[in-house]
Amino acid sequence: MNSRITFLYVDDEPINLMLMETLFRKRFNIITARSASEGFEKLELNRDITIVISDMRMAKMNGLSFIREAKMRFPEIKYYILTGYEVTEEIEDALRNGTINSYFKKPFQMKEIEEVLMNSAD
Amino acid sequence: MKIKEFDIIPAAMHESYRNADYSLQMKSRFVYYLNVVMMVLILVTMFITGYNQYIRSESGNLYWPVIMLEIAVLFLVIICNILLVKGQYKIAVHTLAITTFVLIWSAMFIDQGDVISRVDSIVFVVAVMSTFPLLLSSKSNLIFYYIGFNLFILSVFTYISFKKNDFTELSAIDYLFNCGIAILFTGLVGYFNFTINRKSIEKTESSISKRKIAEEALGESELRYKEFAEMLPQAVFEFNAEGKLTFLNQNGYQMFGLNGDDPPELGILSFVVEEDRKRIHEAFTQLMKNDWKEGNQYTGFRNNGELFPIEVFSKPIIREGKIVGIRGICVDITERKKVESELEMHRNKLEYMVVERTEELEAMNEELRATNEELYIQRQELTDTLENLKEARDKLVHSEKMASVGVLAAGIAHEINNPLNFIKGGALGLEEYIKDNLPEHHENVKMLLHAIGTGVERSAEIVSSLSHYSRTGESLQNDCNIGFILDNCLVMLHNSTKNRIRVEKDFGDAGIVVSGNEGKLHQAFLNILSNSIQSIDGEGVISIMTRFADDRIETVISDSGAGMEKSVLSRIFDPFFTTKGPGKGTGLGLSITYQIINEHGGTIEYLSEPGAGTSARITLPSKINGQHSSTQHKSDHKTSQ
Repeated sequence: MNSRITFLYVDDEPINLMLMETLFRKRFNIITARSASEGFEKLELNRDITIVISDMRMAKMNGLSFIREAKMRFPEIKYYILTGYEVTEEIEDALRNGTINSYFKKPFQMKEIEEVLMNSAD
Repeated sequence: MKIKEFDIIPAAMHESYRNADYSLQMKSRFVYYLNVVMMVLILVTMFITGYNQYIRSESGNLYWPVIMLEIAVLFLVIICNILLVKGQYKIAVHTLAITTFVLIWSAMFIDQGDVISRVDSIVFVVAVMSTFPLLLSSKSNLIFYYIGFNLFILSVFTYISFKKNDFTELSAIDYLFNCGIAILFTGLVGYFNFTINRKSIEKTESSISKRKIAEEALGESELRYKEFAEMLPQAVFEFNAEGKLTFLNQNGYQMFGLNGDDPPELGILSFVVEEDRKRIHEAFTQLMKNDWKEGNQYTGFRNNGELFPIEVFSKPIIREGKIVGIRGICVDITERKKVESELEMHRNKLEYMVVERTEELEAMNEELRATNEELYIQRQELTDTLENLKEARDKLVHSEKMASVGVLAAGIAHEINNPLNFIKGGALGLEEYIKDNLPEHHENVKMLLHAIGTGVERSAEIVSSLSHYSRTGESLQNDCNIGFILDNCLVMLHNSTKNRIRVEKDFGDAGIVVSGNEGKLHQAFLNILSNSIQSIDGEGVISIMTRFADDRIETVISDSGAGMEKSVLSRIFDPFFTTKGPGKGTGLGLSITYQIINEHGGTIEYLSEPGAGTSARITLPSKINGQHSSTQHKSDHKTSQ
């Protein structure tokens, strides 16, 4: 019944969190976290999260590190990175070895993200 | 002078006349004898006259005046002799002469006896006159005094006698005349006799003394010659016309090992070795014909059998137009020969050394030349290297510029994307809200929201272009088909080219593949094509050609656009350089392209002529075995300017 996809958005910038929520809440179940540790919490609490989108630059633990650890604990989830900066080699490696499925760049294209979210369900 | 066994001349007289000349010595001796004779005669006369007078006179008285006279005369003669012995010849002689004349004339005047004997006594005067040449030693003019004196006394005597006796005037004159003539004649003859004799003697003595001088001179000359011959360090010799040695100096004796003082009876041939004898004989013969050559060398033959080298210089001796022999010097040139041979040796050695040295120097010269050439080459290389370094430096400066821009760009990019996100997100959120809650306003705000969106998009594009410089993430190892990429770009730019620009494609072989980053290559070519399109105002052509060129892939994109001035052309790769108006371009397009091509190990070159179009030539290293491989990464869809 609940065909809405639930995804977690991790970003330490509150405005971004607010924006994401506003934009995606119509079609998706969006859960936000303000930091990596909060992200882990949310993952624990919400087992129906199927997608995680994380910002790269975060204060304590960066997006990739968070994703790596999260992936170990929650391997079925699809992980994506959202970054306002360059696509580093780290990101490329992560992409190559499957840690992340893809990446988005800021400012993001709504359609792009939507599409990916929709397809990930398959 | 001795008469028989004894000498009656006293030693004192010898002594007195020791230094006198021969004639005086003889004369003095004669006078001495004369005196002695006179003394004897006077004594005898004294005795006879005394005896006569004694006999004649009955009284037996002597006639004293005569006796006295005779004694006086004797006395004078003795004195005369004494004077003579003492060396006073002239006084003695004149005393004697005067005494004699006085005696005679006295006798003639005084004697009253026989008239005949008295007048006859004049012969004594003449006799005495005749001795004058013998008596006189120097001045002959004195004779004239005696002549005069005697003639005077004669005249007186004749007159008195004439008066006293019964002579006729005629006989007196006759007597005077005869006697006078006799006295004069004898005196004159005596005078001339003496004078001529004296002159002859003088002449003889003069010629004797001249001869003496000449002899002395000759003696001196001979002595000089001898001393000279002895003085020379060489052997001095003389040979006669038969070739026999007539003179040899001391050095000559020594040189040839001969002894003795007289020249040995040696012929000229015996002085040289057998082999040289013919030659020396010829030389001698030539000399005798007054034809010679200076300085012949032979091998000398010493008396003890030793051989030594000699050099001979000789000339003919000519006497009265005839050649009577040869005279010359002989030099022992042993030392000289030794020195000569040493010199020759040294000279040879020197020549050898010079040759060696020259060879050494030539070798060194060759080395130097080679080194010089090397240096030249090195200098050339250095010059080239300098050129290369300059180029590299320029490239480095350019890279640095790029890098600093890159750093700047990265910095900006990092910071702007987030705020841009806010704006975008916010705008989207607004749109959603209006759509949901104020649908009737949606139409109105759509444009405004679109404006916001466009603003964000453009900003994002700029940021993306900027951030490209520090982007190292994407792989450069993928296979990229150039043709495919170019086609893609053309598709992307289709809007700009349709109906306006004709594109001519010549993509060569299908398998033109490079190893690199597809997205970046897309971007690179997109920029180039975009510029080409923009340079064409109205209608035009763009031709694209790719092909293999050695181990590289060459792509040439030419357009029929406006072209660029040199000043523009030189700056096209500079970041932020653009010829477009504000807002129409960031000026980063080609600098990004340049960066990308460089990253891929390629080169990009622009040629342009204002009004004639532009042509870009890109070379990229080709992949050897090109194969497509599908990639999973996202390609960059964003177009850049």
